[in-house]
Amino acid sequence: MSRLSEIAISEELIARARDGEEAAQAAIYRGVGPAVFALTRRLVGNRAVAEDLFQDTMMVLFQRLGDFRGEAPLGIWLRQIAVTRCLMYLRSPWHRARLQWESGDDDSLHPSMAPVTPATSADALDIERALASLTPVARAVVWLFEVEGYSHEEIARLFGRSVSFSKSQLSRALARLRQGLAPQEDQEACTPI
Amino acid sequence: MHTDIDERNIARRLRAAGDESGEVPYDWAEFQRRRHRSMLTRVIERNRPAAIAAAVLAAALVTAVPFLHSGHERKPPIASPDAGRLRQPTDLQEQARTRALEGWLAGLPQDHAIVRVGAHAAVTSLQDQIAALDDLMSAERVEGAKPTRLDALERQRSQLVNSLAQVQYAEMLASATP
Repeated sequence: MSRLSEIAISEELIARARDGEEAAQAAIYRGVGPAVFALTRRLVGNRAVAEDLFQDTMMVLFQRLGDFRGEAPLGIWLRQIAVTRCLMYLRSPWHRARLQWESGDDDSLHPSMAPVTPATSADALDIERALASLTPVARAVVWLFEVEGYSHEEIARLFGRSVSFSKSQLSRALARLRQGLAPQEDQEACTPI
Repeated sequence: MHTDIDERNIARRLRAAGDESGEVPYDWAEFQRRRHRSMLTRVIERNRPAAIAAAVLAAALVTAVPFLHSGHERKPPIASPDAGRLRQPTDLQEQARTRALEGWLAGLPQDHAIVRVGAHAAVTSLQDQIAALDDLMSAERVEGAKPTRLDALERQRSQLVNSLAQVQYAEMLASATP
């Protein structure tokens, strides 16, 4: 179980971390860190950038822990911080310039978007490859909608765009994923037992 | 219909990928180290304008001191006959260093992207003082001035060039600061 929204952190541990107890902060780091890093890598692709955003997100977590009221699980609150930071990066002029350097005018494939996590199964590897073929924005939309459970309205708000932007991005991303996953499925069907 | 099934299948596979266990890029100790470094960097960034202002002030003081001293019309110290010969290599090094600094200064863009009044005034003033010294040294040489006098003027010029380089460098740093 590595999705942030499903990670439970006890109120007592949060209270101790809020009081500045380093052991409690370290325990929270170990508890939520893997999911935060996985999410940032999914959204931005590039490992070095994901590390920076991960560091930033975790620093904000401990700085603002005093503001956390516990109305929603800590993971949801933290996910919002991480997603906001990743989307800020994806919208930044620096990121857009970087993409242009890497791939010229071709918006379809970005070399930096290498597979994100070490896949533990053949199917996961296929998904990783297919995700890597998406543009960063399309990947973020499909991930937020299908995996993190965001609605089109929430995604539109996050990107500062319309609901139809979110829907069209998702539709195109799924079409591309279908395309990317199809040959592998055919190959599997033909594999002799 | 087929598309719907595909999409549901893809969504299921994506969620399964989301459940794959990950790991943190580095442990708690490394996180703490980076956290402290980041906080330190922020403090430095916050205080950078003050540091630049201090550098400009220091450069202005360095510039002013030789001129305050020269206003007292002190007699040049009596040098032993060997002193000029012994100091020669150091003087040559100093002159070479000054020439290198002048080369660096000549390579800087002539038009300042952002003109900060304080620094700009300091640069102009220093450039004027160097030019005035160059004129004076030429005149002294023509009139056959003593080597000690020329040495003193040369040292004064080196100090001015040093100060100019410091101010220009501080200005360059300030321009690069977002």
